[in-house]
Amino acid sequence: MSTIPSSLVEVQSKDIEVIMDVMEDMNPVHVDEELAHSLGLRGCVNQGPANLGYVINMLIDWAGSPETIRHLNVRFHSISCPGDRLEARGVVTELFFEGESCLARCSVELVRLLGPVGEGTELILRGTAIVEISDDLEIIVRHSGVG
Amino acid sequence: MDLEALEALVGYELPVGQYCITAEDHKKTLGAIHQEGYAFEVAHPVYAHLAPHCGMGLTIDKFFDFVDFPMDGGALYGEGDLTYHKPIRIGVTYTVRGLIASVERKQGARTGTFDLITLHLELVDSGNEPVVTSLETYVFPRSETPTS
Repeated sequence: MSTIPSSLVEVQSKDIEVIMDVMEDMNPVHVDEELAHSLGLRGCVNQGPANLGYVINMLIDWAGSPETIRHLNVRFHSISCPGDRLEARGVVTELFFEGESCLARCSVELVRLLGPVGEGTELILRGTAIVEISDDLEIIVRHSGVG
Repeated sequence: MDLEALEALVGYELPVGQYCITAEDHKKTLGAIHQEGYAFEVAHPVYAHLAPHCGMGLTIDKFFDFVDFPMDGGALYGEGDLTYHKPIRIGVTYTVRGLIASVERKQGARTGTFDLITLHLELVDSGNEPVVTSLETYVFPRSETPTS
């Protein structure tokens, strides 16, 4: 497998409010901590699309362009909350061709770091992505043993 | 809402909606997802979820009403499936079509009874060509307060 460079992000309350504004999302679970706790959640809920966005950012940084992303499928396993430090990770599991385009099937995930890096994680989302890659990236991925 | 009534919603076509990503909203979104250095002409791919979701012809609160669930009831986005057919453009008005694709009632050891409701949404351009297909699945807890 070929590893995609990971990326780190810290969730902030102000960012949640911005996404609420953009999405016209009035769900109080994003800002009302008391309500979140009453629902059995550990804190205000960062929006799922934001979590998805962090993973997409990692893929763009790796593949070089937003237009390289062809498909994404993710399942959310847990929530992220303000103050959480998250790491987006990915590996290429397969290369295949569609016409002349080389496509990488990637396994991706977003985890919450429970302490300094290496002290444990909680899975936030996991899924697969299909990304078109350049000739140079194809060579690097093939060199790592992915066929 | 009982399961029979919920299942009867499968296939319901949402009113047709429209969505245009403004440059201002796009910039705000980039900041909120920590992608300030984004310098591409096309919209960030997270808009494959945001544009159909925000543009569907039923606002999210009305959708919640429709499936008989309060906005403060703790519904969550559970799964997303995004297929990119064309780049998404900023400043272009797209049409959003959608329907309720599936309904499933499940029982979780920690969460109790919950419903999974999937919307099938399509963002199409002025030439009626698909730009994005988005399946978004929401988790609606139907039991009393979860235990953890």
